Amino acid sequence: MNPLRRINPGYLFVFPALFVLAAMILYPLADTVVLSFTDPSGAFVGTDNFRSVLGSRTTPLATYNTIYYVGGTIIFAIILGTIAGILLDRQFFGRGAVRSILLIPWVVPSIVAATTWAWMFHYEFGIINYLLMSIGIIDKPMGWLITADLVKPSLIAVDVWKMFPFVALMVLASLQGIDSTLYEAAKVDGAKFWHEVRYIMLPHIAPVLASVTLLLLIWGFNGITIIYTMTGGGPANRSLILPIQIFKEAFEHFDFHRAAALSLVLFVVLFVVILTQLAISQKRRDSVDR
Amino acid sequence: MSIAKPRGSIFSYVLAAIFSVVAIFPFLWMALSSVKPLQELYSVPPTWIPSHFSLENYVNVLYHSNIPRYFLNSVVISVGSTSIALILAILAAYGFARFRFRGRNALQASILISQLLPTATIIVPLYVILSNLGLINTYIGLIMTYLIHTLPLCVWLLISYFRSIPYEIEEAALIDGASRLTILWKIVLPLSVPGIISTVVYCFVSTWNEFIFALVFATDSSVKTLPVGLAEFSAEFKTDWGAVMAASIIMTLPIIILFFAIQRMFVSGITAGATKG
Amino acid sequence: MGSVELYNVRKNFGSFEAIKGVDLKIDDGEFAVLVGPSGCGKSTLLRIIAGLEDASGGEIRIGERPVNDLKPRQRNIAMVFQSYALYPHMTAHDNMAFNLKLSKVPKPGIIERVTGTSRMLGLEALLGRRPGQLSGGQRQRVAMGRAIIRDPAVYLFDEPLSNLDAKLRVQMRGEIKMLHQNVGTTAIYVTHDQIEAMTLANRIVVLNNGRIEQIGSPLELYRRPQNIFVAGFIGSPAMNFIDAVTAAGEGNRPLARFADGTALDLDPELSVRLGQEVVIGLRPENLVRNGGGAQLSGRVSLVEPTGAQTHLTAEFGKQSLVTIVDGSEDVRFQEALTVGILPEHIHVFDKSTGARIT
Repeated sequence: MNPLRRINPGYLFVFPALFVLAAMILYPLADTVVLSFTDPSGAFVGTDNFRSVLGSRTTPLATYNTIYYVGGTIIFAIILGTIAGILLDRQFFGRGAVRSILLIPWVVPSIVAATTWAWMFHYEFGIINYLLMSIGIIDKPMGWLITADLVKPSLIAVDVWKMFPFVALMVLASLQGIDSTLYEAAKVDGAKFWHEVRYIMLPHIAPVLASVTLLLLIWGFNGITIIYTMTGGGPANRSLILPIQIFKEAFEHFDFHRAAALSLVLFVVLFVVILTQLAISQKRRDSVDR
Repeated sequence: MSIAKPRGSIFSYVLAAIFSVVAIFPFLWMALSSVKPLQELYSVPPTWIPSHFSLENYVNVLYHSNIPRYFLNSVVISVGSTSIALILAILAAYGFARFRFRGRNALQASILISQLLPTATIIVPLYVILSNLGLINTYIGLIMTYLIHTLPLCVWLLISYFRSIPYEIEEAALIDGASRLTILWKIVLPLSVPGIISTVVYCFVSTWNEFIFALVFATDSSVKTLPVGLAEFSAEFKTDWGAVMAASIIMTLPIIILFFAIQRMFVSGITAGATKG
Repeated sequence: MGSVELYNVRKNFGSFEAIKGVDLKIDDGEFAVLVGPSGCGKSTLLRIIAGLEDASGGEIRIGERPVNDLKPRQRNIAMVFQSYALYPHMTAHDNMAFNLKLSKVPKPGIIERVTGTSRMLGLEALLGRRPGQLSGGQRQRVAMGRAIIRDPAVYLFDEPLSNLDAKLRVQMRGEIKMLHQNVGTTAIYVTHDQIEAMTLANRIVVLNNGRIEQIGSPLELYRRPQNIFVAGFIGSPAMNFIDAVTAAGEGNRPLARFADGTALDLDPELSVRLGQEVVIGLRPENLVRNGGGAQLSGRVSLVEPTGAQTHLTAEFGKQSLVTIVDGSEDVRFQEALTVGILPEHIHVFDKSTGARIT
């Protein structure tokens, strides 16, 4: 018999992709571990890099900023996205057009979103200051991206604008999987629209929202682009989040080893969060027994 | 589409209008700003509709900047990376979708998990590796690193597409005498055209938009991509906002066109992959 | 040569034994039907013959050649699937020609054979259409055409009619039988529908729980079922079963006594012991209203007209039995009913083993 036949052909099909991914991900990941425990000469330095980077003054601030920024984005993107998704599930004239328009923020490249919003936030010539002043919400121009207290909310606004369409799409897809007789049954039982939302829609989309939250979390940790180009982490590190800190350690201070140590910590924390989330949703799925 | 779906009220229209305005406004503002002449761009109060329609920003970008070169670089890198990702992903997804083998579930899950890896955690060693291999500032370096983003998702999307094809059809082909590769090529792929298209678009768009890897691994203008060019455009001495807006439009237009050409397919593809996964 | 032989074929899915050692020999040209309830292993057995599943043990021969290690395409078989499994992106013509193309038959040869096959199946006008543009019955024909065109050693059918509506099913059933009579190629046909099995088969193989319960011609199975399972599976409406104990009657002739005391005389030739626990099987069509033989009297509790016949459920003492009367007879709910059963129509099975007592 041909010896190749004894190897399960499944392995032959999946091997090339797995090999590439292992080379591009696993190997660098292992290298991160090595880098984080060594100094530029390659000597083993124990936990020095970790102590140095975790002890630095910027790290607690960056951690706080990260939680603030990622958490804020997730909360508002989920709320707005769910509302938009429920809206798009209803029938009204022009629904298709609205759905297409809502896709735009998600489709626009992050870098373009960043430059466009930076222009809109412009202190002197920005349309946002002009609009808010003309309807009387503010009485003088605000430095949205250069004021310590405003920079994070402003950046969250941009990220939410970019991300809520994705949430809306996922919610919509999930809602369209609801058997319409369920609504009819609820109507016969005397349900108002709010009851349908509360007792039919929300329970149905809950698992989708859970996985979307996980994705938003991961994307939040990957989302260097918008902050890096709009503020570079400033002013005075007020919008510095951990991924940008890593990036700066490595490519502005050229301290690869501290950067690696910080990445490793970030990776472990994130990994634990993801596993917990997956375990919880798995348990919930089991208990519902679907 | 069911007849029993709740109908929209006035409230729905108001809400839909608000969402639409919020979603499209920055894009519109970018377009409007890109055709305003300089003095109008920097006028207080700003004008809504440009009083003088001007293409000077586009002329600046197209003839007096590196943007055209970056555009070309972006095309080469996105096409290259998408093609490689697609070929590898088709094979892998078929293997996962149609064969039972030891460790399949674990390997499949690890592909998904690799997608969850924050870019920041591997960018440092990747830089070291790429410079050791002499791949910094090369097309191939970026093409390969982009596989980190695109390959896992492609595999994932295609698995769910391939699984949706009834297996009996493949069994019929086996009995008709087709080999596995023939089945993949002549039966499975023709039946997954919508899935393949949305996967290709997803790959293309995500490589087209990628910023951080490009910023680090492509520092020479011979390989810089559009996002890096755009960032440097807005940082270079005093920002010329008109040119930035024009360059943004140039960068966004191909993506928007691509998306709306295949919107229906794409949306169902992404949501199916995600909800089933 | 298109004989199919199975020697002690077994199949496990994990710890579940789907096929528990099957021996079967199907002669060249036979039309064999594998029948049984869902989960009995009939489809698995067919897929093992096709090479779509590997057997966990035993040997399979097609045309006297062991095929265990051969891929489906090397086994010279054709298969018709329950869902038809037509290639949705190919026309009817291309669906039928796919195998020939793969085996590198020259183009004129392909066209000739497609034309011939489609004429036989009345598909000439539909060759350019894709499966999506065909009706259920037309798809079924294309699926058949795809099998026929190859002229294989064996045809395998996996419940090919179950997706059709009742009327079309009867029509296609007839066409399959005629086709087989014309080409004379060995066919193995899986179904859960015992009427399909009875009408199509030269030989029926009744499977249950991964084992063969009985092999025989349709009428053998109907007249002399070897055990309670086969007796209950073949025949519609299903055979009535009554628990009984044997006893000695007049002149020491054996009789079976039901729990309520009613007794039925049994054939003296039967090898029953006195006091043996048995199950009596009575086919509804053998319980003849006002007929001869042993008499049972009861009261009608359910009347189900089907047109030509009317099915009656009646309470005979404590037994509820189904009988059949002609559709023209006027029987009412709660009416008194007396039926007769001839001794040769009384099936007796051992209660503990389920086997027929002869």
